[in-house]
Amino acid sequence: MIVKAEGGLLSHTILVVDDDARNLELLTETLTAEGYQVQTASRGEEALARVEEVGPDVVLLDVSMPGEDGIEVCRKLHEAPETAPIPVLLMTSQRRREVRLEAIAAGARDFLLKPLDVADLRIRVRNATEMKRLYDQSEERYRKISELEGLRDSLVHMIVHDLRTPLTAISGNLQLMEMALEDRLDSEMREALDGCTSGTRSIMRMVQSILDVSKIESETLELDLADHHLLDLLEEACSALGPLASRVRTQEDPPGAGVKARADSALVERVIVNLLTNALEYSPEEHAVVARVSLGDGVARVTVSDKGPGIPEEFLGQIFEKFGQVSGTRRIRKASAGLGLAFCRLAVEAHGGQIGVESTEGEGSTFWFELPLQGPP
Amino acid sequence: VETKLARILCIDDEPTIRSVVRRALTGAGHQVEEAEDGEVGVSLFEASEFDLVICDLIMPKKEGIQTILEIREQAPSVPILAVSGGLEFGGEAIDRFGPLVDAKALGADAALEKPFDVRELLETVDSLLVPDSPEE
Repeated sequence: MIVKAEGGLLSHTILVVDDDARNLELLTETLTAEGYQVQTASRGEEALARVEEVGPDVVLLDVSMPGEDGIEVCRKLHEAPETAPIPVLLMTSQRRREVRLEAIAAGARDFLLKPLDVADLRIRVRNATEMKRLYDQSEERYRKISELEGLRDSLVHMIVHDLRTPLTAISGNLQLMEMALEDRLDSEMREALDGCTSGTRSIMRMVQSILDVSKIESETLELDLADHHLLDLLEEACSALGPLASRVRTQEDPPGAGVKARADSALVERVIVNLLTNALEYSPEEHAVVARVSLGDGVARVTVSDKGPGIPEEFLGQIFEKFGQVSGTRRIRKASAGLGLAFCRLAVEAHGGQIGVESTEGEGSTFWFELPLQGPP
Repeated sequence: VETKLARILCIDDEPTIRSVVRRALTGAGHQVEEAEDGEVGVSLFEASEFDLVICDLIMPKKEGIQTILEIREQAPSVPILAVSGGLEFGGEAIDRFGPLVDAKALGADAALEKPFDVRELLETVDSLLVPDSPEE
C-alpha cells in the first residue's frame, strides 16, 4: 500500500483487465481521477501475472476475453489463498441471470454492467477498496495479536524456567533442615516446616505443569513409551505426594488384574499426581480419596474419586481448557486448580487417550482417564 | 545399603545449588569439591582423584556436555551424574530432558532434572557408587 504524500490518504491499487483498449483507457482515466493507482492488463493470463507482480487491492475484470475469460481468472484468484482476499468486480454486458450465478460461484464480489455508468463504477470500486482495507486491517491486528501471544508465551516460559533453580535451592534446603533437625522439632516448628515444604511442592508442580503444557503444545515432547502396570504408576504418584498420600486409597478392579498399558511413566505419574492433589485439596480431611485402576475395552482406566463439593455443571466443559480458569469467575478458578488439568488433558491425549470428569454438586467428583493398552496409534 | 564414602566433584555455576549438593552429600559422609564452571571443573578433575562427578549442563565458559566429554576422556569409568533444568530456553529445542538425554548418550551414567529432591540425589549418588552390588 502506498501513502499519498499530500493528504496522507491511503491510495489503493486497482488492476483493470479488459481486451478492449478504449475501455481500458476510459477506466484508467476515471479511476486515476479518483485518486487510485491504476494498473492494466488486456488478457486473462497477463492479468494473473500482473496480480502476482503488483498485488492490487481490487481487480476489475472483463468477463468476455479471448483465451482465459474473466470467470476463469476470477476462479483462479479466488482459489489461491494468497489472492482470495482481493475483491474481484466482474464487468459484463450480459444481463442473463446464469452469467451472474456463474460469476458468484467463481468468487466475484460484485458486477458492473457494460456500458459502464461512471457513478456506479465509482461507488462499487469505493466499496470494494473499503472491504479490502478492512480486511487488511483485521489481518494486521491478527498478526499483532499472534505476535503478542508468542511474546507472552516466551515470557511465561522464561520466568517459569528461571524459577527452577531457586526452587531447587528452597526445596533442597528445606529437606536438609528437616533431616538435620528431625528429632529436635517441636510440633509448632514441625508444622511451620511442613507448611513451607508443601507450599514449595505446590509451586514446583505449577512450574512443572506450565513447562509441560508448553512442551506438549510445541509438539517437541517425545513420549518415552514402555509397558507399565498402572497400579505401580499410581503407587509412585502417591509416594510423590509425601505425607498426604495417607489419605489416598488405591485399588485395582478386579484385585490382582495387573492392568498394563504402553505409556510414558513420568507423564502419566504426573497426570495422576495432579488429579490426586486436586481431589485431596477439595475433599474434607476425614474422607479418603479413592484411586482405582481397571480394564476397559482396549483401554486401561484410572479413576480418582473425591467427596468434595463437586463441580457446577456449567463449568465442566471448561476445566480442562488451558485458560478455562482465567476467563471464569472465582468459583471456576477454585474448581480448576490452575493449569494442572490442562496439562492432564494434553498428556492423556498425547497417549491417544481420553480424560473426563463426572461430578454432582454436593456429593463429589470422579475424574477419569483412559489410555489405549497398545499406546498411541 | 552400605555405600563407600566418596570424593565427589560438583560442577555447577549456581552457588545455591552447589551448596545444597555439598551439604546433602557431606551429611551423608562424602567429601565434596566445588567448581563454578566447566573449565574449573575439568582442571580440578585433572589435578585430583574423584570417585564421582556431578555436572550441571547449562553453564558459562564450558558447557556441561563438553565438560562431561573431557572428563570421560580422562577417566573412562568415573561415574558422572548430569543435572539440568532439562530445557534450553531461547533456542528451538524445548524438548523434555533433551540436553539430559544427550548427556547420557555422550557419557553421563545418570541424569537428574531440576528441581530435584535431596533424597533422590542421595539415592542416585549411592546407586552410582555401588553400581554392581545387588540391593539389600
